[in-house]
Amino acid sequence: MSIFQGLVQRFQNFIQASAVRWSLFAVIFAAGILGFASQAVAQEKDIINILGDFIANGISSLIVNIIIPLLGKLLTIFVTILIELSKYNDFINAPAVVNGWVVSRDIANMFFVIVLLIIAFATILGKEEYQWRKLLPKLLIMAVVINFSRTIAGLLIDAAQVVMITFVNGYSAAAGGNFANALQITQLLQLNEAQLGSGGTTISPANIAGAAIFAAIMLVVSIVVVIVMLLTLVYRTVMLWLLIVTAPLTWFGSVFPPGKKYYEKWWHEFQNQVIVGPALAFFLWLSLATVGSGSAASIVSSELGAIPDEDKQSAAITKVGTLDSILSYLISIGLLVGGLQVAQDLGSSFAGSGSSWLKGQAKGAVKGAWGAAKFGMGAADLLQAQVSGIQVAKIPKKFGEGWAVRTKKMEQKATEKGLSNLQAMRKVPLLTATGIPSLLMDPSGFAKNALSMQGIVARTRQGLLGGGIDKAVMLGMAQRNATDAKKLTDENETENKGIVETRANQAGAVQTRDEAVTRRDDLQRQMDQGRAAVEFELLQATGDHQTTQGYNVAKQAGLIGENVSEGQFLQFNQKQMVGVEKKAATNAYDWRAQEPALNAQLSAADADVQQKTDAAARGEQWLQAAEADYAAGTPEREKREGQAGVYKEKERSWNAAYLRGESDYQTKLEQVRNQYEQEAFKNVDLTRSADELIGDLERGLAKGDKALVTLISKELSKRGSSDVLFEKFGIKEGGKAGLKRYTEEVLQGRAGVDGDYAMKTALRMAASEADKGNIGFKGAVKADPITREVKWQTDNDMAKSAASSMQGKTVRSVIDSTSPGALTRKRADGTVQLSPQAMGFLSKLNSNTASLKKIINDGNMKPEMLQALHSQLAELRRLEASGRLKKDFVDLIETEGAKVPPAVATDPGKVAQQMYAAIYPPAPGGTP
Amino acid sequence: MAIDIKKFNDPAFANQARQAASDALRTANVSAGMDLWSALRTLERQREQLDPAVKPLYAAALKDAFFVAFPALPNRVIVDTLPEYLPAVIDNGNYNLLDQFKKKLASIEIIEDRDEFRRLLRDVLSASEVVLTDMPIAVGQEKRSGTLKEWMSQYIATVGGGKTDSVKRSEFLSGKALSALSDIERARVEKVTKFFDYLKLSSLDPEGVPEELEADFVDEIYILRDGKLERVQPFEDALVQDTSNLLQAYQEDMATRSGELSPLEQQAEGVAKKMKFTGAWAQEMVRAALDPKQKSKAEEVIGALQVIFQKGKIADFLRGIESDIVHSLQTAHAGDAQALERRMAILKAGINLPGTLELFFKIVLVERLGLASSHAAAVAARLIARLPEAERAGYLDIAYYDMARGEFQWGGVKM
Repeated sequence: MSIFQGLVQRFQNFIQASAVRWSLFAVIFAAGILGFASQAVAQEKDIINILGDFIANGISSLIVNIIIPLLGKLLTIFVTILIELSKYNDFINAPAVVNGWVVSRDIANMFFVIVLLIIAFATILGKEEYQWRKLLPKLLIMAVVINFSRTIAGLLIDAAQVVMITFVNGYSAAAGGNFANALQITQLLQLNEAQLGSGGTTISPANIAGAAIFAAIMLVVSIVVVIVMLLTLVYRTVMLWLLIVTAPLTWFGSVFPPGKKYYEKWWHEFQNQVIVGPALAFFLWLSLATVGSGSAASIVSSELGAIPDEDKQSAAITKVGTLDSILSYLISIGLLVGGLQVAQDLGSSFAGSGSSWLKGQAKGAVKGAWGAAKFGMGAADLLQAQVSGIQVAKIPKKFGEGWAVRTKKMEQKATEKGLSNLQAMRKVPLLTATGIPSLLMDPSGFAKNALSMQGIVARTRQGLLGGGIDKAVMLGMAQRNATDAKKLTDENETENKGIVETRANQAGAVQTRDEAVTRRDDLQRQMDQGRAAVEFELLQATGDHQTTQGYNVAKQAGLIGENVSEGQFLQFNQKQMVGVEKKAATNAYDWRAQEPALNAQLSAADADVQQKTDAAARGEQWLQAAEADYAAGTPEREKREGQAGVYKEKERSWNAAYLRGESDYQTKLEQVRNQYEQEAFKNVDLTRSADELIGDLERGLAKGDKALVTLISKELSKRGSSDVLFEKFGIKEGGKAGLKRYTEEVLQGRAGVDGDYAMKTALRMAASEADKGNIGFKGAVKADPITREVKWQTDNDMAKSAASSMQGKTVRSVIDSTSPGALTRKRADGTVQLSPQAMGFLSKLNSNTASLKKIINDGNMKPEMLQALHSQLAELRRLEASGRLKKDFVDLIETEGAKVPPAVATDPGKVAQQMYAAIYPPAPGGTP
Repeated sequence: MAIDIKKFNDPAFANQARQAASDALRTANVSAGMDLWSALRTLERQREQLDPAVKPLYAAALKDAFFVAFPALPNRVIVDTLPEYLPAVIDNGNYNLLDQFKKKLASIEIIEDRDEFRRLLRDVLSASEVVLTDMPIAVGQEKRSGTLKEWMSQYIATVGGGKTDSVKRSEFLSGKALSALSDIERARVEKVTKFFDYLKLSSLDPEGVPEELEADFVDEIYILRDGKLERVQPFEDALVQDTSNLLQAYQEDMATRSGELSPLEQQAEGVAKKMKFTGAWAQEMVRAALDPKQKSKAEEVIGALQVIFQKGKIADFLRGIESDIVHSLQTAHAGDAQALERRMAILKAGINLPGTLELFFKIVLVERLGLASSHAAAVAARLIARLPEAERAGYLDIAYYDMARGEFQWGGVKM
């Protein structure tokens, strides 16, 4: 406790000291640089200038590129945490509190018995301090009170939180921006253009370095202030947790004289921490409300605002260096630190006086309670009776009855509240953060829905499983998808808009540059024309003006019309020449008068052109980079568009399902189908062999008995005999491919089972086969958890599903639960290849070669499994060559697979057939 | 029933049956186990005719077959037989009763039936006089026989009838009743009570759900295993990611090798070489294959097609057999005027169009030779690959290799 306090105190001291230290450091550093620079000017001006610039550039580069971004990020993070933490309001339900308090309360409860014994002994031995008359009343009260200590603490905290949250709500929404304004963050690196040129302020490396150092110092100070506030809140939160947790024990301790000081300390600390929160929030709100606009200087000095920007004193070339910015910054820091200090003091002083008051109240309560106890109940006598075996008085019956009535009422209230909560839950489409209905995320709800998806149904209406998902949830999912689709579309639009704006900005920059060039060219033309007029005068002075040279000069000076040719000019009569000469004299006179101004304007225009050309060039680079970024983001945007389309489609289908009330309809349909299957079930002997059952199925096909066909299909899959069934219908493929053909060609094509029912049957068949370890069927068919639509899965989905089911399992358990036949699948052309699900199996083994080796050496891998993998050795080698399988894994399969003899076991299926042949031998006529 | 008892009395045959049941158990081959159980159960009814030497072999085989077929056996059979086998089932390390029982439960589609089955088994175990332990149960001063019935009664008395509390269970296992038992007998009681605990759960209780349930939301997979709901992030997990990468590499490899001939096509090539098919002969073979009244061998017809496609000029070839195609269609769709009209429309659109060739392939390869659709598409694609390059380009859309599915698909060429 004291370590934390000390830390906070040290930080507070540090702020005060650090501002001075940092300022001192900055001044010395700047002075050093300036001193160094001025000395250098006197000695080796050029070399030192270059060296100075080099160092200054280095410093500014280091600070601007590394230190300031880092500090800026830290400040942002701390401000965000500060704001979030100040909103925290669930002290009594924090896991640390819930777990810790229960233990602490139980321990305290445990001690009551011991304490009663101590009191008994003390009473017998005549120890005054521990006499029952003194301690028992307190003990009794505490026995009740500690069990409500969490609630009591929670109530007091809540009272404080009401005040705190009021202020937090006042500043939280715009707090980030307010902090940035108050601490002048936005102006830290903004060039103060108004100051440039005045008083010798120029953009030089030294000035840039100075501004950078200045910004860094301001950031460091800001961070320290924010950290201290943050630590105060963190300390408060943790302390309140710990205080609630320790409440039962400290309160219990108050019964004894030695425990009293801890009890008092507890209350002191509790009140301190309870009060600090609202006080801090208040001062934080006050600070941000006062200086959040960033112009706190105007509060203390209205004159500052009247000074034009270019005339203000400035410590740096950035805006933050101006007098009013620094003043605003200092006021903001002062308000924050002052607020913090006052909040701490307020907490401490209130805690001091408040705890005495509370103690008084507590004493009063104890006295009052004890009076009541003595008056009505004689509970102490009862306790004494329990301890000593002598019952002084009987508990009045009413006490027990009253207690029972009260307990019952409380229970009733809680039940009502629970029920209303539950009803509310059912009404509202509860969505978790992931967007998946939370009703599905409780294991029980999940089990019901997932079972229903697998085609497991309940017979009775009461036990209705998966009456489907609540309609409201369906609607909720539709809404969620609409939101997701919009979000993705918006993201795309923002990016599109961004690039359009960048292009527009660049076009603007180019236009500005062109306008600057035109202005400069106009000035240049004026200059050139003026100079030419003077030159014409000079020619005139020597009488050489009506010559070819004179013509060219006159033309350049605009003294003659554009259409006048050289021949015409040379033929000009005197009158015409006088006109030209007069114009030349006027123009030359004008030019001479304007030349200095024109010169200045021209050089300014030149600089302007240079600046705008640079800006346009930079803009071009940015645009190119933005366009490259945009082009790079195109696949992502297309993906988003696609995903948005998927979401829109889901929204549409879920809305439609909601409107149709599909869930109920589907459930009823399944029940009806199930009834038919139950009827068919009565007429089939399921103890018969697979061949005999297939015979029954064929008879069912001939009769058009759909229920019999689906029932036997499912029964055979429960035995893992689906492949035998497929073969009978000429389907050579195994696993999903075979199941798909069987569903389409036999169930739908020949038996006429409708698409939905056929898919549900396929779903059950695949699930049954997968349960037998036949991973060739694993995830072949899946039901959408929301719409329950049953779909065939792609190979990739199936592989993913198989891998998911192997997650977290040992290699041994994966090997044990996998059927060897499932590792390969037969293709339609009769060849055998690895199944998609085998990819999950191979990945698992590939990354656990050592375990695999041990399992094989211990004889725990089925030889058939090794054989199946060995039969695909060429493929495994190719996968090794592509870098997906490890060499030692494939080598192991090659070595160990080769050791397995070709026929490792009998073929149990064939032996069974032989036995059948012996049980039903062919009659002499030839038919069995 | 004229059972061939001589064969069953042959020790070699009996040994083979015993071994087969044992192998079915080892490889968890439910299908074979069920067939073996069905045959052995029929034999059991004739057991008085069996030699004493082979009887134990068949009895052991029946026990293994019963256990391996457990998930597929009808409820009544399990209820009638399990108590008798129970001590042996528990003692045998190869039998995992709980696992098999879960598989059996998972195969029951109606929840109430699952619970009913649990209840039936509970009742049977609680009433069984089968001796579980030779040592009697010590209940206070009283000694009771170690039958299943008594053990279950003692267990329920300690832990209660509802969901078992683990503390109470440990209390029972470390209690006086078990103290006198040998290690084997103690293990037996532990296993039976564990099984009984599972029987007490409801199938609607997440812990009582026998199967592993999975729900695949947009970005997450949730799996319910043994009552616990776990979240899997499919694209973040290393194993799933490795699997995805491995599958992709595999699919790419399969795609690069999709031009390789299937065994049937290799055989067809051999036949074509051996029989030295000429163009005219090959055409006759195809014509015969189109005739619904004749039966053709797949390898011969495909061999003939390989010769025809090698030479090219497919439009001429189709023109030459147009009447046979029409005749084949008319016979095949004699009762379905609409289907006939649809397919005839394809022919009328033009004999040299890719759609017509696709129709021809489907008639010959799928309908007449009975190849699976994807196999036929693969054969068609590889036949088209034999065409001279200039001619091939027009027909490439007829069939293509679908990498994601790992098989050939028909292109469904638009007319």
